[in-house]
Amino acid sequence: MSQSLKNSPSLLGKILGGGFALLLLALLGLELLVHKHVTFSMEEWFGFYPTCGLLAALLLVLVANYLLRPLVMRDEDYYDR
Amino acid sequence: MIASVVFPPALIFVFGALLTVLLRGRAMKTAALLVPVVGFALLWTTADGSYGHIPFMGLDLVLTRIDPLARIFGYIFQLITLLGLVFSLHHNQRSHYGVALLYAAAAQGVTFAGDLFSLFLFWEVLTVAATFLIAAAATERARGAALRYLLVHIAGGLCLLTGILLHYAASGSIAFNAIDWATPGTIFIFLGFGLNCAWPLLHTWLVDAYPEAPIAGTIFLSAFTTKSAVYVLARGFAGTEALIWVGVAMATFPIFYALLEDNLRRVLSYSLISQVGYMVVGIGIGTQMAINGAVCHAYAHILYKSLLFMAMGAVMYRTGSCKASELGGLRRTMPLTACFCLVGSAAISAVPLFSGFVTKSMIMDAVAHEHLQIVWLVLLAASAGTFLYAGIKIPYFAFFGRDSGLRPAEAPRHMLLAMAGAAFMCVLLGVYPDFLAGLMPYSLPLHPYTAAHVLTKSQLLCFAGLAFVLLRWLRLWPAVGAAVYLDVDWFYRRVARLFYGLADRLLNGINAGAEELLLHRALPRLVRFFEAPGGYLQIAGLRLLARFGLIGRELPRTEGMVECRSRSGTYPVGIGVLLAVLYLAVISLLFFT
Repeated sequence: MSQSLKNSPSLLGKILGGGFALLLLALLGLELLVHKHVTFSMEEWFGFYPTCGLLAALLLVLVANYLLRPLVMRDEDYYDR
Repeated sequence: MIASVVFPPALIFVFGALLTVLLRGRAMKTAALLVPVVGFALLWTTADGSYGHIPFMGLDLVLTRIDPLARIFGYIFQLITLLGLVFSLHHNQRSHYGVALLYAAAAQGVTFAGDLFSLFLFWEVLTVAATFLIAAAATERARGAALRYLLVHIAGGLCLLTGILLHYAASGSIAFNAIDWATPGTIFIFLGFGLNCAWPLLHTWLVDAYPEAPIAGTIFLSAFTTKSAVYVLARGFAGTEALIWVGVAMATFPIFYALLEDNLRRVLSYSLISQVGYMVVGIGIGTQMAINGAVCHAYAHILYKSLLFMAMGAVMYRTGSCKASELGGLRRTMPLTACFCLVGSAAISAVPLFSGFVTKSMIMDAVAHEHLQIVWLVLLAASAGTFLYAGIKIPYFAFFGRDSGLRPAEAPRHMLLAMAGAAFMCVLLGVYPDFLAGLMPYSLPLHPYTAAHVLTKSQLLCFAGLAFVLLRWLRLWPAVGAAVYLDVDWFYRRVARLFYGLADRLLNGINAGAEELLLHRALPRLVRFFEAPGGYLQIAGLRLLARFGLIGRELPRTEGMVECRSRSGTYPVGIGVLLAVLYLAVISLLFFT
């Protein structure tokens, strides 16, 4: 089994991907069962933390890649010239 | 042990440093490893209090002031000295151990200084020792970075000294406690501390120098300078509101750079600033809860950050590179290093059961408790970012991801041992938070593991992980490749060079012009003139007369005569008399008027 997994990375990828998707769904489902102690009203919204994590991560990477990178990227020997 | 005088912990480290310089080989390494152990034993057995007041020029110097806040920093600095020394056992140079212990001594000195003057003394030793640790890499880049490090920190040190002197002049006391904003000089002390704390705009020395230092030196560097600054801020400026916003900026902006950077040790350096940002926010809030959070986060941070630097150091030791673009798939031959790196990544990302989860939530709770909603939201987003660059990027690009084809051997045993020690502490603090609760400066209840907290934090991290998957899949993740990402140091590395170039052209231009004018033109003419000054003067006078028509055809003949006379030095007696009379007339005019 492990040998065939090693030989077919796509299968391993599918298993990992499937497991990850299940984990995400489980985390969303658990939110219905667990009582949150909130300080801010927005914490009560369903899916607040997942949305926050996803959007923040996307935003940070996109800003870094498309706004900051063109501004500040230089050749590796920039300071040595 | 209650004694009126306690041997200052800093001096134990100084003696240790001297001892290692005298010894060689195994004895030297053993002596070095014993130093933090002896330091720990001394601190462990000493009760809180101030020991050994030294009168010095009318000032009251206190080298050892032990209280809960100093104690927790003292312990963690000793622990990381031990782990760092174990990690560096492949070094055989005596200088490495000597300088590392001196650096640790300075950190102990800052931590236990009860007055601002001894604090300043150790503060400067920190700078000097760190400079040598960086320069020890002996590459052109490291030497440059060390020099820039030294210059920046000397400026910061002078700023601090200015503040301390003004503070002393105004208040008459050099005791180091909470510093009053009403006394002049406070702003200089604040900025002096801030420079070592790597505040935004004052931070580039860190990301410039740490990635260039030798792999073992970076472990000490990542622990001492910034965290001793966190300590002095917590003691001197707890509750200063400006720090909240400084901390928020620190926590966020490095994330963008950390996401782009190719050099994984530079990613860790940016991440260091981001994590210290959380501590600075805690200090800015200043409540007991927040200070506990800041201090405990510093404790946990020193361990997981040095663990990550050790893992990257081991990779660099084996492969010679720590660039994301040149690594990948190293888990095949470095599985233990990969595991330890994952523990460090989990700890920094605040995954439940790891140290960062406990300590970061203390700060987040303190922020929520003060109802600082914007700060809270930004820090929450920064947590997601931290997971991206430290939780995923570092292990993924080094140990997983595409196969680089590199098959390095597993890290040496002493490095694995040091990493195991740090990883053990990361897990211990995560699964047994009461360990930290016993060390916190203020005793407050600590309950990080509520169902809601574990769930929400897991959701945040897993969905940030989903963002990584999506971005990789859509090919929107920043491409890795060797590059320089400009930061504020551009101003002193490029604009200053431009200024240097301008000054060079202007001042050296004046210099060259003066040389041409005086040396190459004026001097030969003067030499020629003084060959026969009388003759030349007379000829010039004759030509002037000729121009006004007073002499005509006889000019060439007269000139010839003058020239002949001046060359042979045979002037008529009349001219000599005339000159003598003129000379006497001038002298008598000068003398009698």
